[in-house]
Amino acid sequence: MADVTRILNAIERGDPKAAEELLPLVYDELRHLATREMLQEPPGQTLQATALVHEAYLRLVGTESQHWDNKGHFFKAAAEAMRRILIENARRKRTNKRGGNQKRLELDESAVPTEGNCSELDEILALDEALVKLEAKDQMKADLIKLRFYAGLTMEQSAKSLGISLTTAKNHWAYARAWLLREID
Amino acid sequence: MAKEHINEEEIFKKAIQLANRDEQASYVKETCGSDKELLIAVETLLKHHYSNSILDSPALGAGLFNENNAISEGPGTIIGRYKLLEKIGEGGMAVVYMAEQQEPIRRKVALKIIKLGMDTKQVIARFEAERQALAIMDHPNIAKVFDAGATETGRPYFVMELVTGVSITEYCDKNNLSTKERLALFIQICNAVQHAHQKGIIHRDIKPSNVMVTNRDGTPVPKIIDFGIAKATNQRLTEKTLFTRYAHIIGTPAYMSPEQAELSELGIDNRSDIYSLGVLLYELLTGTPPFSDEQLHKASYSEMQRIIREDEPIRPSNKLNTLGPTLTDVAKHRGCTPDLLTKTIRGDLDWIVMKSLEKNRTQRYEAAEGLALDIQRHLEHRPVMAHAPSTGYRLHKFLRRNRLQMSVAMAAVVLVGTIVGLLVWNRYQIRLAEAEGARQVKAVSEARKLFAKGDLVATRNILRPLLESKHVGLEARNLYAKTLYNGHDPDGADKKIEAIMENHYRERIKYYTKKIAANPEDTNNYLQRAQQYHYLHEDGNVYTDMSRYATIVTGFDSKSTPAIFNFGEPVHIEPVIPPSPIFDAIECFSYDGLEMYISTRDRPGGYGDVDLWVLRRASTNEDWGPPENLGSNVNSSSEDSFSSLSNDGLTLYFNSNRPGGYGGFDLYKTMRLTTDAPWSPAENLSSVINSYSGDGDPWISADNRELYFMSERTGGYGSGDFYVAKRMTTSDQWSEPVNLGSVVNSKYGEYFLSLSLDGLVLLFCDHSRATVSRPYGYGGPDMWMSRRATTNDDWQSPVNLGPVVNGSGVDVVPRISPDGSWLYFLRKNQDGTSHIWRAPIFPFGEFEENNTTEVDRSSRENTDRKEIFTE
Repeated sequence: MADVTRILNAIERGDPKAAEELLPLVYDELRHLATREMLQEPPGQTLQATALVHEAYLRLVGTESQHWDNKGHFFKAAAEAMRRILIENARRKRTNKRGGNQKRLELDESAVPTEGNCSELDEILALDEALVKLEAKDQMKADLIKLRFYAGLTMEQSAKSLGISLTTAKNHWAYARAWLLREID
Repeated sequence: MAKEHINEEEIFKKAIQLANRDEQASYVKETCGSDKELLIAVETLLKHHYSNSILDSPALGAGLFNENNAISEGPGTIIGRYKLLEKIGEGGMAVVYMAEQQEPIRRKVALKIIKLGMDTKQVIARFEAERQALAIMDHPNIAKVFDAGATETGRPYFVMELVTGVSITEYCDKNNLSTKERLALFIQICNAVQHAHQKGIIHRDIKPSNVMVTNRDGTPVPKIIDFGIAKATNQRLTEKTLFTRYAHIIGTPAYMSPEQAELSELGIDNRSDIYSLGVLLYELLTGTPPFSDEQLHKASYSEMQRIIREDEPIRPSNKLNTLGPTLTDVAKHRGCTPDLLTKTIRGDLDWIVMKSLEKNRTQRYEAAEGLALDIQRHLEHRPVMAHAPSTGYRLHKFLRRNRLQMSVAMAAVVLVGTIVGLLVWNRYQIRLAEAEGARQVKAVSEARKLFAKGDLVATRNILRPLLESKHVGLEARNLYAKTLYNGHDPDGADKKIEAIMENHYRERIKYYTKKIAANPEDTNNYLQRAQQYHYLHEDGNVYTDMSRYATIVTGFDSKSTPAIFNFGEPVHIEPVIPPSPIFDAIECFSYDGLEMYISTRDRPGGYGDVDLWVLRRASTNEDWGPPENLGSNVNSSSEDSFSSLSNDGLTLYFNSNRPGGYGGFDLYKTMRLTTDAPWSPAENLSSVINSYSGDGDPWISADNRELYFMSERTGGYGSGDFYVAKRMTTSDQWSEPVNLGSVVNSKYGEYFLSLSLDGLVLLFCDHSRATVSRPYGYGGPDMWMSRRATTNDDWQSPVNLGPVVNGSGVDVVPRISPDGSWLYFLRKNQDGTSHIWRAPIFPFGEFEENNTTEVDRSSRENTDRKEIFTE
């Protein structure tokens, strides 16, 4: 627990390495939570990214650190982690098309046993590719997309996390969104 | 992004601030001037700005993990011969549009587009198969289905008669229809369903939202919609897809019949619709279905199935008493008082509903017509079929029918007055008792929740006053027993309870003893009695009953056959190996006990997906070393799991779904020259063993002459069956695999097998996704064993490993330690995490005739966990 707080504080102090340390921790925790959610087989519920991310935050950081800057770093890492989980699943699903792969899934639902059709998986993967391009061009807009799309944050929360005004966030979002869609098209 | 579009962001952002698209267009044109490329770039951005995309809702929240539910069609879209006009409804599974048909006739229709990524071809094929039957259905209370097809995006759609109205429940409540008026509407619905059944069409999804009511000249006309659609779409509810999607597809489990909850297509017939009609009637009468959606959605899937299959619904009239303050509202919507409503429903209507809701469909009404007739009889104060007629009941009905004539016989009036007076007083008493019962039932369910949370003290506090209740005492005592069993009360507050509890167990034992006397072959009673003895710590009796149980089921005399087990209390153990977010299952041990093989997903240092790893130790007294990956010769980027090591430790069998196999999972082997040498490249066991379906869970016998495995190939008894291939010597080829036969294999699915060292015990689990577990299990997938007297004999009927190791949840992957003294298995906890557990094994052979044990249990206390794990 304290570990993540320590890393967040280090990021706050400007330690460039700290962010790298954060991602795997958040990734593991989210993976764990997502898996648990799937294992609980809750009828009629879809995974809520925002719920997962907030729970991961409480579990890893606790409630002692309420500083939004701190949280922002965490959410950025969480969004990136969620993105990776999602992309991994999309890739896995695409390569596991031959069927019969429900064996181990019996026990290990982390693979999220579904079979979305290929075009949808393609869409997710195409979006990811476009997002990589956006990251190279404009890191902040890419972060904004990640926070909203992968971590499920609201526009307000995303703006706070990035330290920008709500209006700026809205404008950035509109542009980045249209830009990505044009890229995918 | 090209450099020349450097201003596009600014132009775009300004443009979207403008009020309308025209203004935007002219602004953009003006600003871009002669730069055509920039103009196109910004225009494209704007186009996307106004289109829907996957970015519009969070990845997970939108169900992207599951599927993309977005529908790109909207008003104005032309689909086939239809033009969408406006959206008139949307559910989890579909969107419904009002649409205009152009030819051959111009009319308005309802067009339902299925959201989920179903196999459109199959859906349409199934619809086509029923189209003829649907076409000849002609009933004023059934909305016609005209057509089906696929949208451009490949989603199936259905075209139906446009019904403008609201759902029947909404209609009834909005218009405060009395119970009588509701029944009149309901009878029409039954008759419509009867009509469809006569044409061979089962609805399969009768629920309020599929029964619309329209007002025609001031008269409400019910119309059933979606006939034929459930069948076309629902068949996809195989175990596999259901796991993640049932909630969307079924939508309302509250209306699902027990046989539908089983998900076997075969079991569904007209009577499934009767059940759903029963639920509908229940809701029309009481305002709520017998099991609320809320209650069912909260439960896990298997729990939901269990509720639908097993839980007796509360009678409608009693249900009213549980409603609390909402009862006044419910009554108001039926134009009467709570008391009057309860009185109206109690009796005939209770029975009619309960007969429709029978778990066993042979006990339900044979036909919808029968249900309608019974309601008609009730309305006419004639005896209903749903009630086993007693003289008193028929007299009561007679009196009601002939109320006027009654006044002529004074004496009779007095007599009847007395009877009725008594009845009323009695009823009052009964109602009081029932209200009390309802409160207590609530309290017990509250206690159950606390128990699930692990708050034993609070659980006991609630239960204590209920232990001797005539309504819920049994349940309360059972639950109380569990709290005692799971943890002892430090403050000794339960001392006084002990006597009650002991008495309770003794009563239960008496009860099961009686049942056993009546039917000595019913094995379940032995298991149940063993459980009671277990609570009383009378282990000798536990073992006796378990042994009798095993003897009857297997046909073996356990005293003469050694390799049968009993188990000591299992404990859960945390791996010392670096924890992975995903559990690690122990798959096998080397015969010298120096290697333990596990598989784990995505452990750093692996080759992707699930890999095989090994832990080593220099001697059995030492701790295990860190996990080592078996290397790229063995592991692939696909799943590699379920390994089994030959007795010499030189051949490892496992399964993998890597590319290049025969289909799904295949069996592979890898070899090494010595136990220190590297593994050879994995080799597919070829089409002699592998099929085009999934083949997995290999287990090589200790004598190296039998290779057992699970296969999902066609021709088996269930989703996964066990097969065995044999050979005379290790240099021979494997024989053609043979199905172990119907004694071991069943429709319940068999998985994750292993063999004892002597090859006389086969351990396995039933299918964790099977909709029905093997009978006499303890809930969720359980571990089972089958035995044989010698390796030349056949396997006997499987027996459950018993309540000591099989909990109410998922207990799987049973493995015996190399020295034969421990059973390792994997248990999924209620919070979704998984742990390895182990239980000491006590062979039966060590028990004396008089049922006392000679085994020194303390010698195998779970204290030396360091052997493999630390807490």
